[in-house]
Amino acid sequence: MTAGALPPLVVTGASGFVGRRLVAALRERAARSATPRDVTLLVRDPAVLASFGTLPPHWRAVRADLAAASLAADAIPRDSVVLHLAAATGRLNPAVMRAVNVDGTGRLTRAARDAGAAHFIFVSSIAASFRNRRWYHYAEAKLAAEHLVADAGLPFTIVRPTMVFGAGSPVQEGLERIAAGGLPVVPGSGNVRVQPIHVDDLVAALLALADAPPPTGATIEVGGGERCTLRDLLAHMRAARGLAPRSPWSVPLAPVRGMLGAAETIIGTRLPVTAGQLASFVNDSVAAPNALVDRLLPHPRPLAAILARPDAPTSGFVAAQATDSADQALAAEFGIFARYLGRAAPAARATTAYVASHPSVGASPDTLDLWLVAVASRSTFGCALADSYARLARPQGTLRRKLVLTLAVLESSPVVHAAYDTARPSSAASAWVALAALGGGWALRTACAVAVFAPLHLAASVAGRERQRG
Amino acid sequence: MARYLVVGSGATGVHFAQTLLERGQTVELVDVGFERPPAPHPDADFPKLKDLLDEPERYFLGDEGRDVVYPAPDAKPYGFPPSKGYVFRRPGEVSIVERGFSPLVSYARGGLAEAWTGGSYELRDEELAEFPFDGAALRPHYATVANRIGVTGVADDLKRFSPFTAPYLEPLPMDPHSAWLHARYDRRRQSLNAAGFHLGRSRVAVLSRDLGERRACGELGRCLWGCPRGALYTPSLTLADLVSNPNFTYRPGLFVRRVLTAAGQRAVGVVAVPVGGGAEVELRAERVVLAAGALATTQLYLQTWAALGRTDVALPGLMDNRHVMIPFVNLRRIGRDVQLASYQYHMLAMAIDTGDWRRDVHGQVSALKAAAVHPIVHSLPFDLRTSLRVFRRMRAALGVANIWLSDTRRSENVARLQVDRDGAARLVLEYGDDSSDLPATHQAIARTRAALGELGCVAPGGMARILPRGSSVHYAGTIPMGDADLEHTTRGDGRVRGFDGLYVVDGAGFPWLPAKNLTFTLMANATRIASELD
Repeated sequence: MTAGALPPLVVTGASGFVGRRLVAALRERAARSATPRDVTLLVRDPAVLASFGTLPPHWRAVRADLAAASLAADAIPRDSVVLHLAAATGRLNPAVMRAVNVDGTGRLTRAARDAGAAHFIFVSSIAASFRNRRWYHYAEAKLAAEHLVADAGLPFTIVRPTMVFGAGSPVQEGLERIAAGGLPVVPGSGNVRVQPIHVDDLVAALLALADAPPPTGATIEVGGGERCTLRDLLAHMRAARGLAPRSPWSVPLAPVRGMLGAAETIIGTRLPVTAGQLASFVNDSVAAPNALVDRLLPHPRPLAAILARPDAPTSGFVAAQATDSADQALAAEFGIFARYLGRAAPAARATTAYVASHPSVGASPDTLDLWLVAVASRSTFGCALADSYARLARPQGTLRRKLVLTLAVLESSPVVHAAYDTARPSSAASAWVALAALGGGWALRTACAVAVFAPLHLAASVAGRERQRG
Repeated sequence: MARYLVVGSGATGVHFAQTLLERGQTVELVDVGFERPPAPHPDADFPKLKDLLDEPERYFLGDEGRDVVYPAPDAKPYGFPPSKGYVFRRPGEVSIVERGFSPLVSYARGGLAEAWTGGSYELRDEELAEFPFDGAALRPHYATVANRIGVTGVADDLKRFSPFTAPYLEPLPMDPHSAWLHARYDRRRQSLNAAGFHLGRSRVAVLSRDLGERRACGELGRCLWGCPRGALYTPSLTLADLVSNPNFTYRPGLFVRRVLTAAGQRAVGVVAVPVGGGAEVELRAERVVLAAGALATTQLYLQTWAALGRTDVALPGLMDNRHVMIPFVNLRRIGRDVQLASYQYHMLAMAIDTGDWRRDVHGQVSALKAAAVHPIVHSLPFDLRTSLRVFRRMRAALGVANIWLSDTRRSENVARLQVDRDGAARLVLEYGDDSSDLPATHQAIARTRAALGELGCVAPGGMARILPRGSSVHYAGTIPMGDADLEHTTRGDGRVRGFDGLYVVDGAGFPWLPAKNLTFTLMANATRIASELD
């Protein structure tokens, strides 16, 4: 321990939804506190560091890919509290889920034990308590990881949050879409019980736990201040948006999950939603009462406070240096392109470099090319489709040139360059699996892109010929 | 007035001058001399440099992104960085008409070798068959140059292709990929040798120990952007040493137009113009030495004839090695890590024995280490995001074999002058026969790919690229050395026939072009000529 009386803190998953808020809270504490605290951020991808800016004194970032390799010997200081938030979520196949969430947790617990960590806090999921976990690889992986933590031979606490809401929450965004969508439906019966927690409440509970006396090896479930049915939650969401109430229809989930589950065994997790992800609509997601949780989080936010319209997420990438609307448009497209290529919002300086370097892209009079750029600069999804088609139809066109410039800027920018100009080491088997998955994803995206853009391409060709005739 | 006026500060100019100075002669060296910018943060390695620079994007991509390598039909998987822009900057006066020939010329201090990768190979005795001197005459000068610049190398399987007579330094430790390939070659030597394929360590003008003020390679991974330690030799290092010699005068900022002649076609100096504009100036000396690089020397020679009323001179025999780039993937290294902070260039060299020494193939095998990533990524056949991810998984497995074929002087490949109505002269470089060596080229590609396959690598046929003529930057053959008393040739001692006091000491005088990096031999030959002058 080199600084202050608080034990050193080691955080994984700092770039995730909860991790970002936790780092922000820690940073605020660091700014307020007179006694500095050693904080180590274990990051898989150094690109995420850019979004943190300059780290406070006594903080450090250590590169660690939990899914791939063992940790550096000095990654975890002695007597530290390890807050393990990193997890693979979303539409991932079971192998990846397991590699990150189970094997990765195993590696981390072993490293923490060997380093003499004082407390290992594993942020699991309420899904680990689901009775029906069929096809839900995430829940299975979390449960398996919980067992590893409990058997690792070091002081631990397992924390199972319920649905975590707040600005940028993927689960909240998904439910909001259902609530505000055109179809008045509710997945499943709508009668499962939910207890969303605000991300800042979860962060407060985790930090309180990190500062708490030595743990007892408990598994605690942490939820928000109110319980209700899923149907009620969707109604609250509509009300918070000022939308009129409606009575949604139930969509039976059993056949849908069955079809998805069968499809996933053949084509993998390439459909927009997985059978497992629908598990939240057939299981209760409420936290069992617990005295420790009451102490850690005495006043969790009620539902109305959680659903109050959040401020729009601040995106620092729209640089102040963008002086006119053209520059702002370039800055905005760079934000999309950078997220598409690196899954991370770019720093302001990279945006400035993109705008300053953009004259080298040149202009294109080609209609298809302009359409591809227009689609690509709307969203990362549009960008993926447009880029796939551009590789086939306009490999040297404007969109590709813009994307190449984006890559060139990112691979040259401080700190973030490591996410672009380095190798991504792993075992040979993992690499081959990843390459196969990349190939499959590429083939699927390209097929979709052809279906979408080939008619547009044809239309652009006809329009071009018309113009020439005219 | 100095006794010798040398035009050009490239590899031949500085070693010619150094030898003369060591012999107590007075030398004036004139050139345009665009200067190398100072290397920022000289102790930082490649990744750290990106973190330390105030404007790394500008350093790596140039003003307004001018040095971004965009997708194009002829795009190479690398580009010269902005920090090497001074090497290829052309004065406004330079105008070249290119026909089937895409040359690089340099007006920098140190010339084209400011951007070389250091490959240094001695010629075999038989490879000097068309030269007016033999191997024994050249060997001591390889040793002289090796002592001056520092060349690493070992006597290995490539010794039969390139003699190992000069004093070589210990080679640098190999990067893991190169070491892997070398070990695999050791295990399969018998079958590979039977197929004519031979592998060994590159011989490279890089320091494995300190030499004077130059420091040994620090494995910074910044070779391409300009070694900040002076470990990778460039001629400007020699030039910087020469300027402290009282018998040496350096005159940068002058673009030499032609040789100044007196009665009897006696060379008495040069006519030059200031690069920034201004009136012509005359610089005089007892002897004029053209060492401006094969192409610029050719232009000077032609313009000298034009000033004498001969605008119709055509110089056949322009040569450049056929250059093929063969990317490969080493399947057993997929998923491995890559140390970006390591010596960046080739550590292995290869040769293919064709049974005829004139047609032997020479090459260098580079494992991918530090690099600009975007040119490689956009050359992959997927969307850019997939390509980036594929690239990162495969990065440790990637490499490239650059191979060269020898070239001969042929009448279709000509340098001449085109004088416009306003009197402005343009150098015309016309490579009329770019096809007669194509069958041999395809055979060399097939044999290299087969050998790489035996080494456990896949070299996709579609990725191998025959680069445009001019890419090897080994230019030669326009004013060849020879014993025959022919017009537009030089004697073995560099004297140009038909003139008095005019010398050509660079590649323009080479009568044959072996399939090897030429610079070491160019330096040795310039040293040979300088040491033999009376």
